[in-house]
Amino acid sequence: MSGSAIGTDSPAAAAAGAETAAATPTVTQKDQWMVESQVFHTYQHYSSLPIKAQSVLLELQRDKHIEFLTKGLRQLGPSFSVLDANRPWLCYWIIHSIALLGDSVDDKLEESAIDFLNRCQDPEGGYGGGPGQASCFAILNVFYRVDVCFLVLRCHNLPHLATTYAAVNTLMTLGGYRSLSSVNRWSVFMTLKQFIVFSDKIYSFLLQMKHSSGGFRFDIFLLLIARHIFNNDLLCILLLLSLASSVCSLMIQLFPFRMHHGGEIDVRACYTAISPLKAAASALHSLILSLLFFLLNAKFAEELLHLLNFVDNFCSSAPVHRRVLMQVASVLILRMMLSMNDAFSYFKWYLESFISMQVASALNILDDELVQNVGNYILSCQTYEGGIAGEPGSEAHGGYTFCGFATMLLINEANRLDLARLIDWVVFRQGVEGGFQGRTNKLVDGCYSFWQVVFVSVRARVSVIVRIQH
Amino acid sequence: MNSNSDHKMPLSQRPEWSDVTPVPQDDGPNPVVPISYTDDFRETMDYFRAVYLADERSPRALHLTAEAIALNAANYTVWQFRRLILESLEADLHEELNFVDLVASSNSKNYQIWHHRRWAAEKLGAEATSRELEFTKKVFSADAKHYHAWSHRQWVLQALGGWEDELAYCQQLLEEDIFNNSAWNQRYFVITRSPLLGGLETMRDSEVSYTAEAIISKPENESPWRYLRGLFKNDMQSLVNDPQVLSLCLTVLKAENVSYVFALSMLLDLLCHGLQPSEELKNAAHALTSEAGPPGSDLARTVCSVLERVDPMRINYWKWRKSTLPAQVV
Repeated sequence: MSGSAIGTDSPAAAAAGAETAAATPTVTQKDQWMVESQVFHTYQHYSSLPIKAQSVLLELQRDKHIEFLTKGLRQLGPSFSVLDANRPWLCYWIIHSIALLGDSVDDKLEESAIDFLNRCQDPEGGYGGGPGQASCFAILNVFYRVDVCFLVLRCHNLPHLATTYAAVNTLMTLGGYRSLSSVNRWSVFMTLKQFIVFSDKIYSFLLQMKHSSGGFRFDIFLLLIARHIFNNDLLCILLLLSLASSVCSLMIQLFPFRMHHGGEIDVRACYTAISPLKAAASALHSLILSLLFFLLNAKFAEELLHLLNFVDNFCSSAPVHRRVLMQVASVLILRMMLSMNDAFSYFKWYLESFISMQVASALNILDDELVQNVGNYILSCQTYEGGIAGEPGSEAHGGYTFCGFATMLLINEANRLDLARLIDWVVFRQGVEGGFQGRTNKLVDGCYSFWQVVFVSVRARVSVIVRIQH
Repeated sequence: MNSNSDHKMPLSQRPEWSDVTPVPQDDGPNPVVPISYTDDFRETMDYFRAVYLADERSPRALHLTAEAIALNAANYTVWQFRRLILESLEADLHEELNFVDLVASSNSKNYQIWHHRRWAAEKLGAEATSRELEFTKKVFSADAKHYHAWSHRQWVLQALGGWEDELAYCQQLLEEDIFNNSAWNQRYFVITRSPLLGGLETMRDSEVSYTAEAIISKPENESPWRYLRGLFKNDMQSLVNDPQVLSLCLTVLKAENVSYVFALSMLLDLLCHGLQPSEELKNAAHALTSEAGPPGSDLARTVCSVLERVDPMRINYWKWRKSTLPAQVV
């Protein structure tokens, strides 16, 4: 390009330059004008309507959406074959949407969804895109329902982080309808007889996944699934629940993730991995809570003390486990004391929040250089524009910005990002149409109203961090 | 590979598959989101499950994965198994890239395809370089902002090389469409990472000139403004002191019938990082306000106020900027 000295450029020349260039619009300009005119046409039509018609136009067709979604949950047409490896996603989109619309699925459909997702599970952990064949393992999927026993099925589909995320979120959504503490106690007890736990073998396998390049290659994604059948030994069952919880916490440490065995590494992987882990860990602790209610009310105090000793001995060879389990144990003791007081129900909410704090700190105690690796990776994906890309060097993009930022929030490292630049980039993604674009100079799209707007919901927190950064 | 003609004959009727028992999908008694598969789809996947479970890494299994991919190119399990077969058979990966070309022609926005390409190219090494660079160029001729293709191209450059013509290619794309943010991003990538260039600081002056020209021709184009900031990413003091940058802002602010938003935003950033504005700059900014009389002393606040007016979509953002101005700003 020929260079003209900037200082001698007159405003007239600049304007003239603009006029000449406008005569041959670029692809970007043409695409943009097309969308602008379509959108404005819609706005014009809207504004020409009487008020009543306007409000009808803006009304969310809740019942129709729910009907559409429920139908989809029951059956999808052949054109969905291209999503055959993404069926947990379909579950998640549908069930989550129904929940957002303030409705719920009926019991039978809910059970079917849970059963289906279980069939998508890989015995090594994680959920694949679809179900496989039956195998001999029995499994209790502890964090959503405790009164049903399921079969772990040998999965024909490799576990994949995206579908695991989808599956977990679906189950969490369903779990929300049935408060864990209202679960029928006897069925809890009965089901626990077939509880399956993590083995040390899996734990050491996870540790083997360390990648030499500095990241972790985490192929197998474990979600609180225990594998070993126990016989009527309640204490062991509880112990194993705790172990499951601690391993779950540890798994948060392994980053950056590949999407699946031999699959691509990118920012999506970090988010899809961490999010369900944290959710599941919290849910698991809620379940432990419920079990404790049961135990304490059934006056298994002595057994509990045995359990604490057992836990302590077990952890002697694995110090990392110990801290988490000791926190859980201290909670158990507190519970026990309060239950003896028989003022249990009054302190219930207090205990809930105390235990949540314990959970949070339990997850954070493992916050060392392993977690830093995730933060480092996402940091390296923040571009010169301010947004976050899928891989270091790629273009800042709304979807990856959501994944990256959400992950950083979950691991409490959001302050490491250049938030001022990030915010500046995001706010400029809103176009004249009102909607958001995914990248600079690209078209607005409805989906980015979600991806880009996450900042709105965490605005207060973000602005505090920004102030501290300056 | 005649996947089309083979689809006409069901697998159950093909003699070469007679020894295999297809494995049906176990959706359970009451599946959710069940898909009404076509018979062809169902049968192909039943046979795939059979070879997958048996871990059969044979030529016929390879062929079957191609058929499965044709039915659903997003089935990552099939792709992964295909990779295992290719490795076991020590297949010609150039041929494999031909296969991916074919699948990509109807499925370009599919993660699995791009990952598979990367895997094959990595195994081929330097031999694949020019082919992969050409392939991505072809994609850009249809869609100059294709995200996967850009990521792939960046990976090729870093893993296999081929940097020689990259800056020129960016230039060409920008001449075709100065608004192409992907091309600006690539330019930044080349400037900062090319082993053939001197690195960001060496290139900075010439890049500032290049960017300034782009801005002058289209001040409403966000891409070069962000690029300009990026050139001074970790060195805000140099940005504040760069005469080209100041002159650029001034030029845009004094022009008529142009968008001032980015120039004002840049000026705000400069002020926040300690810029002592000239009288000319103060006057130019003040001229954009609706206030009469001489410019007040608080230029940054003035700039925020102007932005609230000329960029109403982001009025709350500019209000927030105003409220978080550093104390010592003019």
